[in-house]
Amino acid sequence: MFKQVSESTGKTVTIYFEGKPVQVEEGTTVAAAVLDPSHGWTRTSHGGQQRGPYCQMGVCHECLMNIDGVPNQQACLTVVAEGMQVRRQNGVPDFHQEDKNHG
Amino acid sequence: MDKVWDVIIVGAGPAGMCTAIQTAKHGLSTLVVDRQTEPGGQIFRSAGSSSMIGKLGKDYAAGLPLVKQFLNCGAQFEPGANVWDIAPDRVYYSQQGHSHFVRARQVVLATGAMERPVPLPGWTLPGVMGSGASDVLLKSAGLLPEGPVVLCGNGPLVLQAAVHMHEFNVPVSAVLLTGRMGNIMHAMKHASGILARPGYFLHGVNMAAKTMLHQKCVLGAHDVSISESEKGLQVHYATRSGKHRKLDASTVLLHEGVIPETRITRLARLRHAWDQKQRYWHVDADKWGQTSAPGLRTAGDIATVRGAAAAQAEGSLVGLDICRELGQLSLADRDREALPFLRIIKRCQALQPFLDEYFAPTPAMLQPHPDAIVCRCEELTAGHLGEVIREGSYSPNGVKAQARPGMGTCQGRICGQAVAEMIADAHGLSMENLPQYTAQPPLFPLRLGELVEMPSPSELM
Ligand SMILES: Cc1cc2nc3c(=O)[nH]c(=O)nc-3n(C[C@H](O)[C@H](O)[C@H](O)COP(=O)(O)OP(=O)(O)OC[C@H]3O[C@@H](n4cnc5c(N)ncnc54)[C@H](O)[C@@H]3O)c2cc1C
Ligand code: FES
Repeated sequence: MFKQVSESTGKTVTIYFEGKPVQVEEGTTVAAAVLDPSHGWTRTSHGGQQRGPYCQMGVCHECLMNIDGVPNQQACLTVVAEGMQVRRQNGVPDFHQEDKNHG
Repeated sequence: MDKVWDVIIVGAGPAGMCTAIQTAKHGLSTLVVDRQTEPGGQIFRSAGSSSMIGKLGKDYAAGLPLVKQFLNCGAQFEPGANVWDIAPDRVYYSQQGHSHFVRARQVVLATGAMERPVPLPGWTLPGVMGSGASDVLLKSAGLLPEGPVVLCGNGPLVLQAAVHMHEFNVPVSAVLLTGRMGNIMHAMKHASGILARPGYFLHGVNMAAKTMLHQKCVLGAHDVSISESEKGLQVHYATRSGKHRKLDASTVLLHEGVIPETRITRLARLRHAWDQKQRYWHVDADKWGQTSAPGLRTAGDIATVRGAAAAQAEGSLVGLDICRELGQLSLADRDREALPFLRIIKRCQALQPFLDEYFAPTPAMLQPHPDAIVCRCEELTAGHLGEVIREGSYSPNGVKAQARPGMGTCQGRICGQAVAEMIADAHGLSMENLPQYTAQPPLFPLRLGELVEMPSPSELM
């Protein structure tokens, strides 16, 4: 769906999207990194609609994902790190779970 | 932690960076926070690190020296710091899952703008995004859609995207231009403004010419909607003569201009004003960025959307006046140092009426089709909200109480203006008189644990 038009810096990290490894350039946001593997679909709304990042600048909250076990993370504001586990967020975010995972 | 900064600036776009450069230069302790991981803001997104820096034209390349100057100016920069509450002397932000509280003698909000959300049927489908969002991906990650792309909207950023697609061989099915044909007539009344910034104007003409030459353009496209198809997405639209057409696309990029993102300034209860031409609310501030709240200033797009040159000049003026207020500059020195920036602003102001008329939003676009989801978070359609409004809701807060738009995670950033436009249209009200959604802290959903862990302000005093 998206293509790289810049030259690779040669510095990459491996993250896991829904458990599958994805190699991406260092410094990339999670939202950019999972564009292709997710087919643009990174969460479902509470009514079950597929949604993906819309603004890429922290405003729309369509990019909320589960990152390293913590739900409700804005993927467009989060930079990839080696071994990061990224999952789609389905339905209404669970704030209790979030505190448990974090704490 | 109990340090009181002279100045805290929220936003490291062109405006915020220039404010910091002035205040740091004149010896004021300056803290700059930005939710992005790098300085630059929207136009200069990732300019300090992007491998695209030499490939996207002069406008973007100008960001690199500015970012370097900012990073070396002596101000402290906190990246990845998302501000969630604000008062004239204090700022609360969240950084890597932890919240912090900082105090200052002067606070500057240089938080910028966003693309105007214009709901249409199918705009929530994966593969549809803002044209500015695609620009962010290009600058920060070197990514462009594989195509075919349909670009749809109105404004200089549509032309810029069309040129980028051509230069990087991205197939574009069509560029649907939704601006009104009559805009040019109104714009020509302000044609003398062109003389103030001939280079900037010609750059725009050049982008328009390249778009017309290399892309299939549809002028006056309307009734746009998007649906899923076997090949990905299908865009439906009507031509000026009323014929209905379809286009295949894998990515659809929408853009209807840029509006100030006023949630943070509404939270601070600043006085706002309505811009009737470009149809947006903005902070009512003077040329030194002074708002209705003493100690709280604004700079750049949040006050008026006039582009990067004006944002930089405004940011510099705000910085200079803070230096005067905090005793680092005499009035005479402030005025002397302000001169070059005032000249730039004068030139930008002279051309602005032309641009505002030429790219004025199309009223019909602002009244969404009943099937369009207006509140993306709560999945509320224009059809449903329209009923609630017609049954007797006269304010955005009223509609919110009855039907829940604006209650989701984006807190009404996406639906706020669309709901107001619907109310104004249904009841014949003027937008100027419509109160917007009330903004409450925190500005985005925070973990409860994060709030509990944060030292309370009273402990710090
Ligand atoms: C998506 C988009 C793309 C654009 N692309 C271009 C372009 O290519 N060319 C052009 O001429 N103009 C472009 N513009 C117009 C652009 O807004 C101005 O030219 C210019 O960037 C305005 O500068 P600014 O400093 O006022 O705001 P911005 O550049 O928007 O900077 C504001 C900064 O504040 C930060 N911020 C906002 N809220 C918070 C918060 N709560 N906490 C912490 N940080 C916060 C943001 O992360 C951002 O870095 C674009 C606008 C948008 C919305
Ligand atoms: S894509 Fe809009 S907030 Fe992340």
